[in-house]
Amino acid sequence: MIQPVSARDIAVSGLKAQRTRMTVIAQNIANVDTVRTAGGGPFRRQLAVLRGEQLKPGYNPERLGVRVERIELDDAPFRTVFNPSHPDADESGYVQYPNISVAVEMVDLVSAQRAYDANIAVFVSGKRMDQKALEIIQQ
Amino acid sequence: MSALSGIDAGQLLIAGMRVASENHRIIANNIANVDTPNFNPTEMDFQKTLSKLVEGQGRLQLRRTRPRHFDKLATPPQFERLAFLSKNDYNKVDLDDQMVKLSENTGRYTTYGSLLVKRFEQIKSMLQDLR
Repeated sequence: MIQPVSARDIAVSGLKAQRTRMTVIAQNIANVDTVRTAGGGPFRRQLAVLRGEQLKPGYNPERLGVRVERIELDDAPFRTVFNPSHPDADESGYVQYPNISVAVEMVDLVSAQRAYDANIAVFVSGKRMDQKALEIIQQ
Repeated sequence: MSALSGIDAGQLLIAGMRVASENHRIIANNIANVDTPNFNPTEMDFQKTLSKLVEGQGRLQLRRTRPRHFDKLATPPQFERLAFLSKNDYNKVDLDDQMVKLSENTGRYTTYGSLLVKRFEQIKSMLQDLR
């Protein structure tokens, strides 16, 4: 049987995607108070959008697994803090802070970590299966 | 047992291992897509797939020369419609459910592997007695 994408490849694609997601979350947490960016304005929250192949009749077996399709910007409004002495304050004294909530990012981080662990479990059980198959010819 | 008469135990075990390995791939895909929006998990009926694979034994089989050609194993995956929605991204993958299936399937594969080892040991001891 020809398998263009093995279970191991699928697990690795999951690991890569979750790691990218964690990187994006780390970037959000690191920039929770960044009020000035190269593009002007405060830092905007980023989200990794994952895309996978559904196993339904007519699916493309070469595209199994998951990948990060794009990194999207969260268009939620910025947090405003009243601080007239801040150099980035507007004429009424408000400073715009990134639309990032550390609590939300932490929840996402735990979810990404759990998914990462699950993919590791798939990899490990695949390894166990391969070892068992090797035992057949070992004797 | 009538459906299994005339099929060698070794052949059946090999077929079982093939189905388990394909099932492993399906579970891997479900787990990899645990955070993909709008994703529905796929489930394979182990018994149905195995009997489908075994009943074709001994008959003329078509050869697959391209990965996208239909294979006996490629057709049966079915949608899991019983899964209920627990996330707001329309993803129906239940991670715990998939983990249970994963360990169940790995156990199945390793059991068949052990039985196959036993089968070859039987043949080996038979051959040794002949000497």
